[in-house]
Amino acid sequence: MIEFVNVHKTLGDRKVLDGLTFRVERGETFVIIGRSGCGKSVTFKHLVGLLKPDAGSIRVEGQETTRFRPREMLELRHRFGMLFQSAALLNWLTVEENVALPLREHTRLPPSEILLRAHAKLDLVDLRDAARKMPSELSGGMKKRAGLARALVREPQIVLYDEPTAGLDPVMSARINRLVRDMQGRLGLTSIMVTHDMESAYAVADRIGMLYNGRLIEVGTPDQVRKTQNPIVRQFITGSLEGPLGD
Amino acid sequence: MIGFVERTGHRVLQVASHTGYAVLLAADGFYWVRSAWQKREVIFQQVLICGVLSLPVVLLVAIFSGMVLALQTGMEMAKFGVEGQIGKIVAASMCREMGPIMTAIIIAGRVGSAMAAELGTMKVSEEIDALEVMSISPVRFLVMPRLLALTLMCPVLTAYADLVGTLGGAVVGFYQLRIPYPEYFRNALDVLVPMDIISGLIKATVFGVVIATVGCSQGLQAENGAEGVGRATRNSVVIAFILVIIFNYFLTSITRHFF
Repeated sequence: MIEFVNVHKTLGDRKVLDGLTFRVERGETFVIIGRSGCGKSVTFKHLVGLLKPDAGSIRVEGQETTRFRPREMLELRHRFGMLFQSAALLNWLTVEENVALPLREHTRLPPSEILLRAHAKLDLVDLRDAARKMPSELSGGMKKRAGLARALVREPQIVLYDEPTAGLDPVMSARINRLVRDMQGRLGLTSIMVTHDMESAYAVADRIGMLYNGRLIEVGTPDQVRKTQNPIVRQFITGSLEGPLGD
Repeated sequence: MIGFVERTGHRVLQVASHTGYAVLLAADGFYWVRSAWQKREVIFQQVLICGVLSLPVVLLVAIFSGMVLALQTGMEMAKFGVEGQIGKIVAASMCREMGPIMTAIIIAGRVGSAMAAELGTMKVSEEIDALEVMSISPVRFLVMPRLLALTLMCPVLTAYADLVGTLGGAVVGFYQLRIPYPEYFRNALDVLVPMDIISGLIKATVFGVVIATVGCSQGLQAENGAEGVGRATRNSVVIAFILVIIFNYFLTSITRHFF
């Protein structure tokens, strides 16, 4: 279980998180939507300890992570897998080396076993044929799938998806969405996704929360969000130019 | 007036913060040298990039510097009929000052800037964040191999520059000043004491640490996309040049004082 309670963060002169509060249950897929630059990625960075909040509490499985020492934070991160918006593959390693990297760095498994596990994850995202390719030879969707394989290779309990469908065509987006859903079904993962792609949010979410002015202004199931009367959320999900969000 | 004081104070704090970051980064980098054996492949790769691939540039710059040094001083000395002593001047200058400084400037431009650009690109494309989320220390994974490789290779390249520069001086001495090779090298060996070479290599080692630390710290602090990477690259060269010149003065003072 993951819990943010009244989290505040100011970066430079800008208040990015202003009393952010939410809770994600074990095995749930929670999607945070919001406009670009509204603090979605900053929320993730707080969750994995890349940023510390100015105030508030962040708890993972009941443990207060804001007071963690660096070593404890390293331990905590073993429970997380994260798919970055740009996939963040290391460009001098092949796809299979990228996927194998966390195992190579953190386990004493023999190289053959590491490769076997990396290939199993590449099978899972249907990317086995590209195992020997360099990231520069991959399309955007393939990079995302490789990033997902890397995020899953250590069998994490919690997976974070940072705009996984950004910049992808609709077919590839649908494929990524199905993959996210499959992973949750097959592996029982707790997932948090940040996105501004509503198709993607409806397709994968158990619950959706909209981040606006540093806090969640609406939380509900996809159906509840679709039928919301909140004008800000309505404008965002319909993509209308008219409304309180302006253009 | 208040604005000026505010800006100056802000700048001072910024410099102090960057300096502190770089010093801690270097300390952390050396702490991780204990895992050098596990990272031997990457270190070897960096040794190749920093050291072996820099040899042609160092060769060219050192040989022509030695040649021009011999030519300029030799022609002046010829007016007094002491051009035969040119070997002493070239050898001493190369080993004490020119070799270490020249090599450091080449390395700062060629390797330090590449480190800043490479790590900066990784920073802005979230690869550094990805390493941290995977609980992989970027310092152990990226900084330590570069720091170690440059610390080891800078003195090696400097020794090579000393030798090549002295040889360049010998060629000019022979063809343009009519100084036989045996006389040139006898003079060169007469003036050199082991401490001349050792002090030059000590300087080179320190310069290696400085250049790697500046390159890596600038890269890891890059932000704002391509523009930020460009800024980090430019800063890494400028700061490394300035620090090399400043450190050179103090290291010369120290080595002269003690030896």
